[in-house]
Amino acid sequence: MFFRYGNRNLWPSSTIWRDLRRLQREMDHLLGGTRGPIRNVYPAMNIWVSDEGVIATSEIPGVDPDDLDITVVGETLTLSGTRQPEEMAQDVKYHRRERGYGDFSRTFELPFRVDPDQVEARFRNGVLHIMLPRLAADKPKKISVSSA
Amino acid sequence: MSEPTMEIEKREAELPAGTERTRMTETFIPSVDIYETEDTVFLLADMPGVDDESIDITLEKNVLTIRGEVEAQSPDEHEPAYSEYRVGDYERTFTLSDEVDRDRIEATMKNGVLRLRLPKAEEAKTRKILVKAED
Repeated sequence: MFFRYGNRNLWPSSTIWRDLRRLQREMDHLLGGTRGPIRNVYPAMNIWVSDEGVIATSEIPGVDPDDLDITVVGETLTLSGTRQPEEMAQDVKYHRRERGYGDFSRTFELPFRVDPDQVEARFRNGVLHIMLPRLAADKPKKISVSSA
Repeated sequence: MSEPTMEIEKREAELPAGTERTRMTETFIPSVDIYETEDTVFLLADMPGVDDESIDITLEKNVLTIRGEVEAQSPDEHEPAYSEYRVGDYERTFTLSDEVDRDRIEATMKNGVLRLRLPKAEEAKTRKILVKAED
């Protein structure tokens, strides 16, 4: 799934996305729900941008950091990984099973090129933070005008 | 039972009518797995952002409540560009059908997952009653 965001002002507030998703769900429901729930969009991600770089965060509880794979190619960020199923004895009786598991992958197109060597990721309490500094050559340059 | 799929959407916790929260954050219902062996009930809850300091588990009579506080952190000097999830506290309450041995409850937090081990009390374990047929 790709997301292009050239102009940041297109997203004045994050609630718009929530409202849109809710609207989509309601429409799906009205139209017979042929689309079903939105799948293959795990995990949810939040993205922050500044002139200096991009910060991407995601909540992926229960994933071992060793099972996470972050790749950056040009302007494309890919986060993939596996949530391992619970290992347990044979004779258990399930009462509730809401937590999913399996492979996941997300790809995002970033608004500018980032420096792959400077990318840092931190995983704490099931929350992933990826810091992607902008490629130095790509940063906006301030040009001073001299009055000759 | 169909395999659960990984949900992107967090469910918001509901409040009883007329009550309000004291914290100015949203509260979500954590996804859980509950399973049972012969002598123990296990509960796993996805609570990303919660650690062993910010988790609160109470058992009053047979009502089990799990609560986790999460401080929303926005990166400095960055503007939100795209948002798919919201950050907030977690809360969920369960009624246990079995008597639990309170002294032997164990709870651990790892990678944002709470794992609760609730051993059944001796008297709650299934007792097999033999029925003798009279000749």
